[in-house]
Amino acid sequence: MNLVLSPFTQLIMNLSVVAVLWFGGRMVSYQTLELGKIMAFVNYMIQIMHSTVMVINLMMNFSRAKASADRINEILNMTSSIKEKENAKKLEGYDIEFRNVYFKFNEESENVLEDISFSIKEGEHIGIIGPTGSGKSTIISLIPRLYDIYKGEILIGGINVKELKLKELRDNIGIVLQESLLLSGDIEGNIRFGNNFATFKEIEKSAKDAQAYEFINKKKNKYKEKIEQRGKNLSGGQKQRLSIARTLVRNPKILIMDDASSALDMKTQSKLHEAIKNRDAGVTIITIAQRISAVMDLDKIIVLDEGRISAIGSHDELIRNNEIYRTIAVSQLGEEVLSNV
Amino acid sequence: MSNSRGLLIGNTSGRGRVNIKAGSKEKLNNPMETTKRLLKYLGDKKYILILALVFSIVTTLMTIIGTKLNGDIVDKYIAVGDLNGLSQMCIILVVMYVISSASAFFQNRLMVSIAQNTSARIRKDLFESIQKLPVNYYDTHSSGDLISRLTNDVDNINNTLSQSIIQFASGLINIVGMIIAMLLLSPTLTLIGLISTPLMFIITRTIINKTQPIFLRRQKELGELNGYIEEMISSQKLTFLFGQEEKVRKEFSNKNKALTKSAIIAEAMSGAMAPTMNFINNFTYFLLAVSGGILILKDINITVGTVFTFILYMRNFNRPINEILNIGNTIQSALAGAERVFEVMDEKKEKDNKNAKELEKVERNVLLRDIEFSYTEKKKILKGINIKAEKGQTIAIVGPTGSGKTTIINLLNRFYDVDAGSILIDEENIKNYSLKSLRKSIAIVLQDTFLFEDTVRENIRYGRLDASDEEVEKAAKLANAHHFIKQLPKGYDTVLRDNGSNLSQGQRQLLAIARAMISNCSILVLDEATSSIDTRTEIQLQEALKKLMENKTTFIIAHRLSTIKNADKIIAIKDGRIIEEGTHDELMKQKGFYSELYNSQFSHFNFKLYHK
Repeated sequence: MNLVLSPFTQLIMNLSVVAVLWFGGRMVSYQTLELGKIMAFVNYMIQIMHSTVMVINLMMNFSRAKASADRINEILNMTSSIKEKENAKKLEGYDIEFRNVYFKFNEESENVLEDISFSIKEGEHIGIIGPTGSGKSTIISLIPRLYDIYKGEILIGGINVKELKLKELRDNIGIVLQESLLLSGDIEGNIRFGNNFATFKEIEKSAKDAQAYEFINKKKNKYKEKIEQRGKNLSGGQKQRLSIARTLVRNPKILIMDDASSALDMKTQSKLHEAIKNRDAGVTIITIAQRISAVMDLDKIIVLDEGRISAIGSHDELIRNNEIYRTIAVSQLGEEVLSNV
Repeated sequence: MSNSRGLLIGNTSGRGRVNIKAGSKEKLNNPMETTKRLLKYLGDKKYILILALVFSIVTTLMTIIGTKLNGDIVDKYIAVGDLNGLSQMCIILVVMYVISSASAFFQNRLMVSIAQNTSARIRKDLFESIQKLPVNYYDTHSSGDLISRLTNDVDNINNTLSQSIIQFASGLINIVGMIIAMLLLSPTLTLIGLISTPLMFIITRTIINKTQPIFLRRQKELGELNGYIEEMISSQKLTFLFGQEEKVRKEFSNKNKALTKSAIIAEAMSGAMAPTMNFINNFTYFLLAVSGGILILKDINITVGTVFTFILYMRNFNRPINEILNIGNTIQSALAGAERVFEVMDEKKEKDNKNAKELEKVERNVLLRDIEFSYTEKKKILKGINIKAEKGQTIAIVGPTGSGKTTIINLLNRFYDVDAGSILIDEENIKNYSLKSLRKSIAIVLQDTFLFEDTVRENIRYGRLDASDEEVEKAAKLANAHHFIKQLPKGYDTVLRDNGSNLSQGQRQLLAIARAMISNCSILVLDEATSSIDTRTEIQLQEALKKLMENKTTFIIAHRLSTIKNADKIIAIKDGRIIEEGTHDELMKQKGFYSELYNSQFSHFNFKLYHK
C-alpha cells in the first residue's frame, strides 16, 4: 500500500503547496493578501494534508477491519444445533437403548448408520466390533450427544437424550478416544482434566488402574512431569494410558473405550481390562476393538458392518451364526477357534 | 501519520504471531559475521541496490531544493511581485515534485522486490537445510520453533531489507543535506532550530525505554494466548466430553485479560508519543517564528522566505532522525532473526560418504552385527544385537513396549547411526551407500501414517514419484484400498485434509500400505502396521502382503499371531538384547520368554479353548 500511496500523497501535498504559492503570489501582487498569510496558509495546507492522509489510512484500515469483522461475525452468528431443552430432565438410570437410529453427518451425505437398534442394561459389558469405517466410533459419539441423530431415538435410562440435561449426561459418560489427545501441562493436570474435584488419591488410583502408575513413577518429577503440547514427549502407549486414567478419574457410570488400548501390548491390555472391571461393578462398559481377544469375554458383542448391525450375541453364538465375526476370529485366533464351538 | 506508531511498533516487531522466543532472545552472538552473511544474499543485487539508492538521493535532493525554492519564491518573486517568474518557478517546482514522487515510487518498488526475492531465497535455503537435517535434530527441537524461524524470523529480515536499509540511507542523506542547506541559509536559525532535536531525542528514548518491557510482556502474553487457543481448538472434542467448557472459558478469559491489561498499558504509554512529538514540532515552529521575526525586524540578513524555508525544513527534519534511531532496533531484531536462521543452516546435515555406492537391489542379505545404540548417553537402547536376514526372508521382531524394536528399524534406515557394530547390506556397510538409494530400497509402513494435503492418488504416488496412474490404482487394489477409495466423494481425486482426518485410521494405513506397494523396494518394514486395520480387511491384506513380500526381505514388528507364526525367524528382544531366536515352533518348545509372551497374549483364548 505504501508503495503507491506514500509517494502519491507526498506529491499531492507538494503540489498544493505550489498552488498556494502561485495563487497566493498573485493575490499578494494585487495586494489582496499579505505575504505572511501565504506562510500561514502553507502550514495549514500541510496540516490538512497530514490529516487527509490519516483519514485515507483509516479508511483502508476500516475496509480491512470490515472483512475481518465479517469473518468473525460468521462464527458469532452460528448457533449450536445441539441445545439443551428448557425443562431438561435429570438422568434416571443408565440403561442405553437405540431405537431404529439413522445418522448422517449432513443433509447431502449418505447414511453413516442405518436402522441401529440395541439395548444395553446398566452394568453390562458390551463389545463393538466391525470393519474399518463401519460406524463403530459414530455410534458411541451419539451416546453423549455429540451429534443429533437424523431419525430414530436414543434413550438413556428410558429418557430421550434430547430431553436430558446435557452436562449431567456427559458428566456420567466417560469416553476414551481412539486418538489420545493430551494437553500441555503436567501429568497430574492432564488426569485432573477428567475431574476437577479429584483428590490426589483418586488420581493415583486411576493411574494405577490405567496401568500408568509404573511409568509415571519412573519419571523424574512423577505426577508433576511436564507434558508438551499433544503429549509429544510421551510414547503412544503412555499417552493412551494417561488418557484412560483421565477418563477413569471421572468415575463414569458409562465407560466407553474406543479402541483405546491399541498401542499397549497384550499383557498390559489384559491387566488394564481386569483393573477396570474391578473398579465398580455397576459401570456399563462399552469396548470398541479390533482384536477379538479384547471383546470375546464380554456379555454381548455387537457386530457392525457398513453402518448396520450384522449381529448381536456372545462370542460363542457369533462364532456359530455370524459370518463376519467368524472370519475375524479365524484370522486372529486361528482355525482352532472353530473346533471348540 | 504513521510515524509515531511505526516508531514504537518497529521496536517491538509487533503483530500477533505466536513466536515468543524471537523476542526474548535478542542477544547477538556474532553480529558482524551475521551481517556479512546477510549481505552476501544481497551480493548479486548490488546494482539494483545502487539504483534504489540513487532514486533515494534524487528524492531527498528534490525535497531539499524544492523547499529552498519555496522560500526563494516568497523572497524573490512574490515579495517583488514578479508574476512571470512566479509562474516559471511554480512550473519548475511541479516538475521537481513529480520527479521526486516518481523516484520515491521506483525506489520503493525496487526495494520491495529486492527484499521479497532475498527473503524468498533465504527461506528456500533454510527449507532445504531443514530437509537435510537428521532425525535426531527433531528429537531435540520443536517443530514450532523451526516454523517460527521459517516465518517470523525470515519476515523480520524481510522488513529490515525492504525498509530499514533505504530508510537509513535516505535518512542520512536527508539529515546531512538539510543541515548543509540550513547552514547556508542562516547559521543562527539553524542553531535555534536544532535546540529541539536533543530534546526530542531524550523524550523519545525515555518513552521507548519505559515501554519496551511492557511491549515485550505484551508479546509474550499474546504468544501464550495464541498457544492456548491453538491447543484448545485442536482438542475441542475433549472439552465437550469432559464437560470442561467452564474451566476452559475461565482459563481463556484469564489469559485474555492479562493480555488486555498489558496491551492497554503499552498502548497508553506509546500513545503519549504522538502528542509529545506534536508539541515539540510546534515548539520548534514557535522558536523559529519568534526568533526569525526578531531577526527580520533587526534586519540581520534574514528574509521572510528564509524563515519560511526553515519552518518547512524543520517539519521534515526530526522525522529522519527518529527513523534512524529506530532502525537500530529493527536491524537488531532482524540480525537476531538472521542468526536463528543461519543457526539451522549450519546444523550438521545428513551427508553421503565420499564415493557412496548406489544400492540398486538387495541380492543377498541384510546383516546387523554387534549393534550398540543409545539415543541419549544415559540410557543404552540396544546392546549387542545380531540379526541376519537372507533375501526373501521374513523376520519378526517381538518384545515388550520400549524394548528397542522400532529403534532397530531406525538404524536400518540410517535415521540414526549406530554407536558400535555395523549394519551390512550385501556385505557392504550401509554407510557406504548413498542415503537416497538406501532409503529408496526400504519401504516402511509406520504406526502413524502421515498423509499429505493432496489427492489420494498423489498420496499413494508418494511411494514412487514416477509411478503412472494405472500403477497407483493397481497398488491400491493390491492393498485393498481401491474399494473404499472408490467410495470417497471424488474417488482417487479426493483431497485429503489435515493428515487424512476424514479417513479412519485403518483406511489411512491401507493407503500407507498401497504407498509401500508402489515403491520398488527390496526391503520391507512393517512396524505394527496392521494393528488398527480391522481384521476382515486384514485377511485380504495378508494375501496382498504375502505377494508384496515375495523376493523381499521383510522385517515385521507385530503383535499378531498370524504374522508372527509364519515368519522365517522370530527374534525376541527384551531390554535391548536378543534373548531368543528361532521359528515359532522352536521357540514354543523352548518354553522361554517367547512362549510365555505368546501364551500371555493369547491366554484368554487358550483358556477358553481348553476349558470348554
